[in-house]
Amino acid sequence: MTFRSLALSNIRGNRRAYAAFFLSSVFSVLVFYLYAAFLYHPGVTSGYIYAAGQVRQGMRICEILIAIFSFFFVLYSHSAFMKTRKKEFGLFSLFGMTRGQIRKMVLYESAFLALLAIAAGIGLGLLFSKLFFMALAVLLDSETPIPFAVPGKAVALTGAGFFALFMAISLLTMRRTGRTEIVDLLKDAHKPKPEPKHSRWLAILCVLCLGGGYGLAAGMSVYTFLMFMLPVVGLTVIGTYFLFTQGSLAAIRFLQRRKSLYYRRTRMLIVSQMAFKMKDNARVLFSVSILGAVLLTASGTVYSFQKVQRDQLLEHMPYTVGYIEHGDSSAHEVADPDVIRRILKEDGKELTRELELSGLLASRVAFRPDDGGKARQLDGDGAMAVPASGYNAAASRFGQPPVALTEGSAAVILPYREMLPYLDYTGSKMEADVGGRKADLSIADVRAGSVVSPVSSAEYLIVLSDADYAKLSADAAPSQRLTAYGFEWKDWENSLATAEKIEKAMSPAAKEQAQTKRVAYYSETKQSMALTFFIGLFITLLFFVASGSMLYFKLFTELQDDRAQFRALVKIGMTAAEIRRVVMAQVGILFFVPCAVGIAHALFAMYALSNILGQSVFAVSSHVFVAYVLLQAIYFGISCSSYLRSIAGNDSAAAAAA
Amino acid sequence: MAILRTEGLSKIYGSKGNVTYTALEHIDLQVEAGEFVGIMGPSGSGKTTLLNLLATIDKPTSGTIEIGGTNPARLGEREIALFRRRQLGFVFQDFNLLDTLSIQENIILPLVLEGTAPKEIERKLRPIAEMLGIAGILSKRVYEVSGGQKQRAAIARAIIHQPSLLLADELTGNLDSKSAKDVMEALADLNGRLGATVLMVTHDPFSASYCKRVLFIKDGRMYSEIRRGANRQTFFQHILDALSVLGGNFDDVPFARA
Repeated sequence: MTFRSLALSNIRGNRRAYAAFFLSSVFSVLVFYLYAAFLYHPGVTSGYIYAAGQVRQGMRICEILIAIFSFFFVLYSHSAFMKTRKKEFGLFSLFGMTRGQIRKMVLYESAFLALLAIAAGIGLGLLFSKLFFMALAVLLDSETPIPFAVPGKAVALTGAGFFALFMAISLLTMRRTGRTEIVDLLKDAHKPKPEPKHSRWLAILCVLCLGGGYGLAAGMSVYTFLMFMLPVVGLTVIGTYFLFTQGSLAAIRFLQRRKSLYYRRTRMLIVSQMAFKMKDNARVLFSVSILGAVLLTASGTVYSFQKVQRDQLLEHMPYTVGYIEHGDSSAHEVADPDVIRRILKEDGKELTRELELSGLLASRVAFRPDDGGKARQLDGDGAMAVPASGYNAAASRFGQPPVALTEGSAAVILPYREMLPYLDYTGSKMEADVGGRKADLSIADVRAGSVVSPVSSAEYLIVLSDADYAKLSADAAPSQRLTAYGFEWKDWENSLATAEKIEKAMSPAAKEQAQTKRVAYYSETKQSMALTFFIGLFITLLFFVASGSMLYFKLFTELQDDRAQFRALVKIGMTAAEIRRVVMAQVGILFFVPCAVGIAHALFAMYALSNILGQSVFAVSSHVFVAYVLLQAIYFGISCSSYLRSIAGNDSAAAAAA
Repeated sequence: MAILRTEGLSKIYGSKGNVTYTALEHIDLQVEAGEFVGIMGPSGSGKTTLLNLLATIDKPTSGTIEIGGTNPARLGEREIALFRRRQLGFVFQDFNLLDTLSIQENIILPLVLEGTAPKEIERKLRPIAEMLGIAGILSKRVYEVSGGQKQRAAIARAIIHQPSLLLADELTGNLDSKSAKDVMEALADLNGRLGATVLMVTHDPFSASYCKRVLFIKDGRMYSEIRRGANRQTFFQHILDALSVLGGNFDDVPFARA
C-alpha cells in the first residue's frame, strides 16, 4: 500500500461525509468558471460583443464574492473534517506514523479532492457555458450571439486559483491538528457532552435585540432608512446569535419543565436532543440563518423592484403615449391624434384607451392656508384647470372615485402618491389666473394619481365645478386653452419600435409637452433587473448549496455517536417509525430552524421595504420565500434519507458481524 | 409457568464463499417465572448470539422461541419492536444511557414511549429508584454519575415497565469490583423482592454466583447446568470448578477480581 492509495481509500471511506462538501466545491468551481469564461471570452474582451459591457463589472464583483466565500467555506469544512478525524490520526500516530507523514497524507487527500472537484467543476462548466452564453445573449439583447469558446485564461484562473485555495487551507488546518497528544486525539471522539447551559439575562437580551431590530425595521420610512439601517442589522445579528446560543435553550428548558407536554412519547427524545443540537450547532445555525436572511432579502428586493417598478411606471405614466397642447384643438403643436392612430394601426396595435381632455391654463397658482400661514406658490408651468365632468370621466378609467364640487370650490390632483403627505392643501384658499382671469377658490379636496400624462402644465390638475369652469372658459383666449391627449394600447410592453415611431412623428420643438418613454424605461429596467437576477441567481444558489452542505456535514460529524444511540433505542424496543420520526425531527430542526429565522428576518426587511416604496411587496416577494422553502425541503429530504440509510446500513452490518 | 422456552434453537451464519459457521446448535432452554438464570461460556461459545436471538434483534435459522406465550418470529417488524418494548427489558455492558437525557428521563423512557400519563410515570419511578439506591441522582446527567450508578439506572430503565423477562448482557463488564457487587446485589434484590425474571449472560464467575441457576454453553451447544444452594460463596466455587472443566478462553474480558 502506497501513501497515495492510503489517501485514496481514506476518501472512499469518508465519502458520504465528503459528498456534500465535494458537490458544493464542484458547484463553486462551476459558477466561478462560467463567470470567468464570460469575462475572458475573446468576443467580450475584444469589445466585439458590445452589450457585454453592461454586466462585466457586476460579474467581476461576483467572482471576488465567490472567491471569498469559497475560501471561508472550504476553511470551515476542512477544519471540521480534521476535527472528526482526530481519532483516526491518533491511531495512525500510535502505529508510528510521523507528524510529517500524516500531513503528507492529508495533503495528498486534499490535492486529490481538489483536482477532482476542479476537473468536475470545469468539465460541467464547459458543458453548460454555451447555455449560459445563450441565456446571457438573450437577456442582453445582444445582436451578435456569443459563440462557444474555451478561454484558456478562464480555465487557468479557475484551476490554479482553486487548487491554491485548497492547498493553502489544508496546510492551514493541518498546523492545528499536529500539536495534540495522541491520547487526547484518541479520546476526542468520546468526550461526554456537558449539559447545555444558558443564561437568563442573555436570553432576555436576545429577545430585546430581536424585538428592537424588528421594531425599528417596522418603523422605518424613506427618511429614517439610512439612520436605522445599521442599528437594525446590528441588533438582528446579535439577537440571532443569542437566539441560537441562549434563547432556544431557554425555550427548551421551559418546555422540559412542563411534564405533561414533555413526557409524551418521542417528544422527550426530540426535545432533549434539540437542546444539544442547538448548542453544538449554534454557530452554523446562526451563520446559515444570517446567510438565508441576506439571500432572501437581496433576492426578494430585486424581485420586488422588478415587479413594483412596472406598477410605479404605470402610475407615473398613465398613458403609453401622452401629450399636452396649447391653443385650439385643431392646430396641433405636438402631434395630430390621427397620425398616432394611423401609426398604431400600421403596427397592428390595438388601442385600449384614448383620452382627449380639454382645460384651461392656470398660472400664478398660490395656496394660502386657512390659519393665515405662508402662501405656497406652485412653480413650473402652472397647472391645468379642468371641469369636474371631464376629470371624472378620465378618472373613472383608472378606477378612481369621482369628485363632487360646489361652485367656488376646487380639487387639486397631485401627480404622484408620494407627494400627498407633504402637499395637503385641503382647506386652503387658492388664487390663480385661470384662462387669463383671476379666480379665488377654496380647496375642498386634494388627491393624488395622475389621470393624464403629467407633463408640462398638466403635471398638476385643478378640478373646478362645471359651472365655474364654464364661466372661466367662456371668453378664454385660445392661447389659454389646453388639451391633453393620451393613448394606451394592448401589449405596450413589447412595442418599443412603435413608441419610437410615434416619438419621431411628434414635433421636436414640443418635446417637453409629451410623454413617450414608458416603453423604453420599462424595457430598460426590465432588462437590467433580469440581468441582475440572472447573475445573482447563481451566487444565490451557490450560497444556498454551501449553507445546506454545512448543515449536511454537521449531521454526519455526529453520526458515530448518534448511531450508537439509535442502536440502543432499537434494542429497547423503539419501532422503525418512531426512529424515523426522531431522525426527521432532528434533521428537520437543523434545516428548517435557520430557514424559519431567515424568513422571519427577511419578512421584516420586506415590511420595511414596503413602507419605503409605499407599496406592499409581500405578495411578490413571497415567491422567493416559497422557492427557498422548497429548495430547503429538497435538501432536507436528501439529507434525511441519506442519514437514515447510514444509520440503518451500519446497523444491519453490525448485526451480521455479531 | 415458563416465561421463556426455546426448542431446537440454531443459528448458522453463512458467508459469500459458502463457508458456514454454526454459532448455536439445538438449544433447548426453559426459564420459569421469577428465576434468575446465568449463561456462561468461553469466548465464541455463542452466548451473545443466543442473547440476540432472545432479544428478538436477530432471527434463528431454525427452532422456536416463546416468550410469555408469544413467538416473536410470527410478529411483524413493528410488532416485534413493540413486543421488545413491552415484554423485555435490557441491560447492556456499556449502559447505553442517552447523554442527552437526565438519569430520570433515561429510566422513564420506555414508559414515555408507551404514552403513559406523567403522574403514573412518577408513581412508578419512585419505588424502583429507591430500591436501586439511585433516588438521589435522578436529576443528574449521565456523565455526572459513576459506572455503578449508570448500570443501576439502566436496570431501572429495564424493569420500570414490568417486563416479563429482563435480559442482561455482561452487565458488570465495565465496572470495578465494588460497583459490580452493588449492581449484582441490586439485581438479586429485584429478583427476590419483585419476582422479576432475569436472564444474564456473563464471563464473570463472581457475577454469575448471584444467579440461582447457571447454564454453560460451549461451541454453540448446551454443556452443563448447575444450581445454587443456600450459600453464594460455595456456588462461586462450583462455578469456578465448572469453568475449569469447560476450558476455553475466558480472559478476553479482564476479570475484575480473581
